[in-house]
Amino acid sequence: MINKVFEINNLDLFYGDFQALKGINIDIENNKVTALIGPSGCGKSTFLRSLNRMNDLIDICHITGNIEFEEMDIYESGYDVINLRTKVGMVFQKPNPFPMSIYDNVAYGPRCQGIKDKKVLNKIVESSLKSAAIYEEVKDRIKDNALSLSGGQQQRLCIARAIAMKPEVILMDEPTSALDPIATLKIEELINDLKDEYTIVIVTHNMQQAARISDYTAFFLMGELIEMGETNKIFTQPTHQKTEDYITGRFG
Amino acid sequence: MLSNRKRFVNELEDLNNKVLDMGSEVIESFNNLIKVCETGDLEIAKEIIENDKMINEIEVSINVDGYLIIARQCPVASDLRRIITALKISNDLERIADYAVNIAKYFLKTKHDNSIVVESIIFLGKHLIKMLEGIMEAFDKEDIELALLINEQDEVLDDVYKEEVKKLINIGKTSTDEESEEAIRGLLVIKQIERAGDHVTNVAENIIYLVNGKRVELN
Repeated sequence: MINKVFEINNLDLFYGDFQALKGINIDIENNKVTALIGPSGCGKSTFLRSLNRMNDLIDICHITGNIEFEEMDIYESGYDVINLRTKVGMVFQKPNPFPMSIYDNVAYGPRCQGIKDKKVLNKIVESSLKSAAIYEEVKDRIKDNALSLSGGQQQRLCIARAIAMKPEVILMDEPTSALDPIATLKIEELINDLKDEYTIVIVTHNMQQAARISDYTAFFLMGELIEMGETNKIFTQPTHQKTEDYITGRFG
Repeated sequence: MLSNRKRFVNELEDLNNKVLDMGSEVIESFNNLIKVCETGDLEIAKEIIENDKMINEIEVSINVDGYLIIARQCPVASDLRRIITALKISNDLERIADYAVNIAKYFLKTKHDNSIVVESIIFLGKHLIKMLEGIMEAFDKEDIELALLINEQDEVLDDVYKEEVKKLINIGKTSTDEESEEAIRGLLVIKQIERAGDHVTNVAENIIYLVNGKRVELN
């Protein structure tokens, strides 16, 4: 039996009258990278955002079915959303460091949690930057404004910022689509290293990226989960013709 | 202007056509081999050796095209299988053609009249040609049933080969020195056709992989 961190059952998600997700059933395995692929508007980012209830910010959004994180339904009334978002961090398409120093970016979350001890904060910042494979590049200018970093460095800083919260899962929404190939490669290597400690769910439009870095791939189309399976199988012998057509570029 | 996908599809079709062309040339080599056996015309044997250079060139071309498509298009799923299959089948076809060349070279070097061995070569060779024609049709039509049928024909080829081996051994034991020597050399020659049949079964395995992505061991 797989060690699953998320269990999603019959998930329907609506934006007003529009149904963006239809009857999704997925298990997300612990310490694995799961890639979500599919054409624009297929629901993959919506699905990703539903995993830490980011969709709550949209008034007209409502769901049926359930999403269990560590065997608790995260949409149950009274569920601690702040705790959920601490445990399920997120990295976005465009690097979005806060307009403050590199150090303060990473220390922001722990400070919000009430950690004031400078030594403890220093330790968290250093280990988070190291985990995000950016420490060596920024250790001598840790008080510089984060916006002075390159795009690739900013994105790794955002990953460090997520790691500082000691999450269990990191959600990544097209984290390399705004980056050059070298920066992309660094993030991909980082993802590979991070899965020893974290579960990663990543939305990507880059098919080869999904093939390179993920253990499992889920293919979405028009709000439906068409196929999910081991990445090696999806990219060599997909079961569904629609998956085959999409990954080989016959449509989409 | 062609879309990228259309251009990619054209490249895959070109690759497929090269494999089919290569198959036709290999069949031609064995047809020529039968003619050498039937007519004793050694010029045809030389043609087989010459033709093999072209077969090798087609294989190189399939390799170059295949690697380029992989590098440029990063193919997946059935596209990827099609390229891998083309590379593997062309490798088997190249080996099969080499067996025809080995036999052609035998005819050019031997001092025997070959009356004993040609009978066996014609018998086995014609069976092999039918297998080659069938397997190339199975590749063209992506027909697993036909590929499996051709695979069964290899067992028939093996049985016939064993019978021919027995016959030649018997001649070796009971005939004059010269006939015995021809029979012994004949054993080595017909082994080439038996080996060619094994490569046909490899092609059958690759056709199955091409169609449904499953790896099977047929031989």
